[in-house]
Amino acid sequence: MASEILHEKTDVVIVGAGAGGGVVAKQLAVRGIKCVGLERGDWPIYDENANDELINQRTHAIKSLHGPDRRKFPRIAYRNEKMVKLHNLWSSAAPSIAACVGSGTVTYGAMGWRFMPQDFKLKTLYGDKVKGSALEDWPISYDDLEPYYEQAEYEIGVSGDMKDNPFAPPRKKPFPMPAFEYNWEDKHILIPAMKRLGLHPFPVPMLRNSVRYNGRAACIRNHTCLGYMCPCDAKNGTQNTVIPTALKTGNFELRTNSVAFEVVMEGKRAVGVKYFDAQRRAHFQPADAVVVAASSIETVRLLFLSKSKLFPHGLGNQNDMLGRCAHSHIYCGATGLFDEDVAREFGPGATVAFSDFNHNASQKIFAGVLCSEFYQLPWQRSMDNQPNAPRWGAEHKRRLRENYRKVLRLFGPVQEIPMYECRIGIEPRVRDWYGIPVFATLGGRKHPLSLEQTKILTDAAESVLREAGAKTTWKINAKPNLNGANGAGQHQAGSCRMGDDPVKSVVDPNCKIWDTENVWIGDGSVHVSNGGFNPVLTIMALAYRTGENIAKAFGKKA
Amino acid sequence: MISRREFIQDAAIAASGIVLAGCGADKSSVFNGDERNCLVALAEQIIPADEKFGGATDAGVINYIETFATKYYPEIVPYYRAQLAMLQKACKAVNSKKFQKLDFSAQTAFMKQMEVGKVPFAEWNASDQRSFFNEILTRSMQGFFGAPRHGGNKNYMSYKMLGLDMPVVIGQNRYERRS
Amino acid sequence: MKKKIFLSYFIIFSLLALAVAAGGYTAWNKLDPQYTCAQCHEVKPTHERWMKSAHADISCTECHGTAISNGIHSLREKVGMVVSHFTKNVRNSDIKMTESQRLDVASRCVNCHRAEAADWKSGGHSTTYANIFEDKIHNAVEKPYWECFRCHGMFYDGNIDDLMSFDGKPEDWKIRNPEQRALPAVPCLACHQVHAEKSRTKDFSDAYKTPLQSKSAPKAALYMRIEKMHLRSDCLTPLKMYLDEKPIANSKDPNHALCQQCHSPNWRHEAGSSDDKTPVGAHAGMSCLACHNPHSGEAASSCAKCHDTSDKKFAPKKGKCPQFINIPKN
Repeated sequence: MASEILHEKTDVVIVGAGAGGGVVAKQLAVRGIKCVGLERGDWPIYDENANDELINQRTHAIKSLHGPDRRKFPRIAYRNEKMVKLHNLWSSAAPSIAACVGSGTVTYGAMGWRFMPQDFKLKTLYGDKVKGSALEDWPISYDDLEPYYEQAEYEIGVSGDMKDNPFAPPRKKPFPMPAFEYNWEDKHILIPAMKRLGLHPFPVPMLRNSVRYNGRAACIRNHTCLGYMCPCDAKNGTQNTVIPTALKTGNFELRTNSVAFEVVMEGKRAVGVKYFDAQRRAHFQPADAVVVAASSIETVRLLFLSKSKLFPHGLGNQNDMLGRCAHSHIYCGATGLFDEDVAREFGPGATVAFSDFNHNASQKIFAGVLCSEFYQLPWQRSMDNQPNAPRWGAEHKRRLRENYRKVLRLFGPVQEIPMYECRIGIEPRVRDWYGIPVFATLGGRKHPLSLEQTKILTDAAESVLREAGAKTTWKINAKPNLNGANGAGQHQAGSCRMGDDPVKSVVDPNCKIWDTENVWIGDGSVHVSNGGFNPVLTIMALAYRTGENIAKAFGKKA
Repeated sequence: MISRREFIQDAAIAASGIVLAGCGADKSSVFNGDERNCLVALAEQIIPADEKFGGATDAGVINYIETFATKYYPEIVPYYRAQLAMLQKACKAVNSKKFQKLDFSAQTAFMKQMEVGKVPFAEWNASDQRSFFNEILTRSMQGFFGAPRHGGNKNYMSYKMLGLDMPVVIGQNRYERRS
Repeated sequence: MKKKIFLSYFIIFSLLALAVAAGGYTAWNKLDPQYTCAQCHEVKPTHERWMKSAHADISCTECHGTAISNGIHSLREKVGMVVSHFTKNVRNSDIKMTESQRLDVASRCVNCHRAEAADWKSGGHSTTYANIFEDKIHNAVEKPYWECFRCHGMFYDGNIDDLMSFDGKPEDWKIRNPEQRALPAVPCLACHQVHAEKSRTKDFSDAYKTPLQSKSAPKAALYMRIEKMHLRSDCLTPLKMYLDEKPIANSKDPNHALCQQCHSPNWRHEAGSSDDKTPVGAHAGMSCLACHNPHSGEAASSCAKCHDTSDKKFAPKKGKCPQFINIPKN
């Protein structure tokens, strides 16, 4: 590694240009701070594999639309002390988070939720129920984050309306765009049923343009939304909002196809980042500060690889906390089969939600939100069968054909309870195309309370569908396997926990790694818990706050 | 006497024989005839044709499987070879015929056993039976319901069957009246 | 003396060689393609489709030109094909014509389809890239995006950012390459597949509601940019259309389904929304082609097919057809 290509020093290096990194870049660049972004993927292009149910970020059937390339980044299927087994190249299992400018925000379903104030103090509220877990309160409150939620909603763009949601977190300003109109089946079938059951349905807040916004078009409501690139650029990610803003200032340079492999430390200070380019040439980018925003998994991998005299076990791992408490969501819900056609298959689905079971007072549990599900394309539907129904043959084909529009689904994320044993680490026996050890989930299991939570949501989903007239219903993931944890996936979080106590956390309440002077983390890995909602708006809000904190450290005003 | 046209044709055949001596045959299939026929039969079992709608064979599912095994994952070919050989061996032991030579219902019965790993043939272990069945199931469904750009779903056959408006048709929204 | 003999032999030999080459070349271009183009495995499936098509009596070169019909350009193209034949594993499905090749083909359609070409030229479908993408009124309301290519510029070799520069205000947005501006944005091959299967034995008579409509098989195929292939119009799924959330009749004419691919409604599939022109009221269920010339879009004279246009009520009004456009919204 002696012959790295040396770059001119910059103020800040940001590793990752996804939900967090893109926002941090904008926060710094508009304040006159020079920064360089390193993104392992490329700019996304719609024309490559447009609307392809087999190549996208949802089914990953042939391959993932935005990678990472399975040939370059092997995935571990199973490991123990003696052996490591990799997933077959052709297996669509264990896809990693999207590798492109904007990352998952290019192809996400784009639900733009704020967490609820209670989500920030789970231990205080439910401490007695979650014994044996590593659950903690956040070191910051909802009120600390509220202004940044608002900034994210306005700068990235969220359509929504919370007037029908009595449990909505308090907000100072209304949404910048009106809520999306309900789909026909949600409006005429699900919502009346929810209301009859005393629930409080309301439109899902979406990081999509319900009207023309920020110079880009309004959503045309395609089927192919979740997992696909937007054909009309109406889905708001960092790649079409904050990143272009940052680039326009001239203070931000984004280097694509650049894979970071070490944060170089001198004592308590980071002096830059080493990375590989597309030709596997090593580069060194010196800087006055480093922001790691590579996703919960990749951030941990990079920090484990960044060993120095003061941090011999990996950067941020002084107290053996790096990679611990990794968690995600347990998705569950129910499917209802109706006697007649109910779905008008207008895209992209997921227009209605109810939040009655988030911190439900009578059940004393935090659970999660339930939403109508995104539109299911034919291949996915062909593999999603009623329990005990044939999976193939003439009968399968007949059912598929006749029931295609007779099915509605409700689906929601249950907060996974952070467990100390659930850890992301590196596996030196397997190396990627660049020669870097790959990540591995090092074990852990789910908390038993997860069962109670999924029961609440699946029961609720089933009762709504029955009330709506579904003759047959079945639960989805009502009994999650407690062995093994959900450290990976699109909602990965928590592996570099934020806290007041350096012994129990990796970063301080400002998201700076403990004991360092200038290394910050700007992604979901700092989440103490992951909310009963999709986490992306919280990642963005935190990145707005972290970006501001870094700017302050550079002597710039907020 | 030969006509002018025939003469030119003959001459051309001779000439093209020289010019194109270096060309191989069409390398479109990675599977040999037997393997290919077996795959076609397996896929047709997964999605059979009925009186109204075509099945896996009509949709060209085999073309999709071949695209998958050439353009994307040539690494999968040895797995297919080995499992197809094993399947035929098992099929011969049980039914004394090649799988594709069985009648439709016998094929179905065989695959039902395979689905649960219960083909009575000791050499082929249960988990291999199940995983190869699942491989065929997944790939056939992908070929039938996926985009035709990958070789299957000929003429959007499955979308037509489901009455799905694919390609997605949505007009420009500049004419939309919005509040 | 020796030199002179040598020279004359040389000249004779050269002339002979040239004659053989020219003869060979002419023969090549005149021969049944199964002995020429389709000798290459890459071209075989295309040749098979052509054999079954309505154009099976037209030779390859009449539409695709010869190796020298476009000068050095086409020569280079053909040499490139030979080179990649021997160096790459090209499959038939990998071969895609470029936009200029497709426009070349389209320019030769005129040789036979003169009336259709004249109609096309006279109507909106002969619009150019400049008309579509530099439309200031449109751009002020909606920024051009990738999906625009679904209906205009479907053969464009690049993405929207390659085509357009979005610097400055919407009125300043320009097509980068000036030569692209005048190219047709909806050429023949947008709705027609030259190698489409001819044998359409299926009876489409049930698809037509009124005796106005032809019972002949559809002659159109939609070019789907996302699939990079054509889809015969009878393979399209007729749209389910709604008015005030209630389902309404929509013609089952495959050609009508093709028109609706671009003259399409909003996400609710409401008749009369967005670019949709689905007839409602007295004309409900009728195909676009009942009144419109598909190439020019012209419909003014069609009222007289059913109505006494001397009656004021039925007198054609240019650009207006009350039953078609007076659709209550919301």
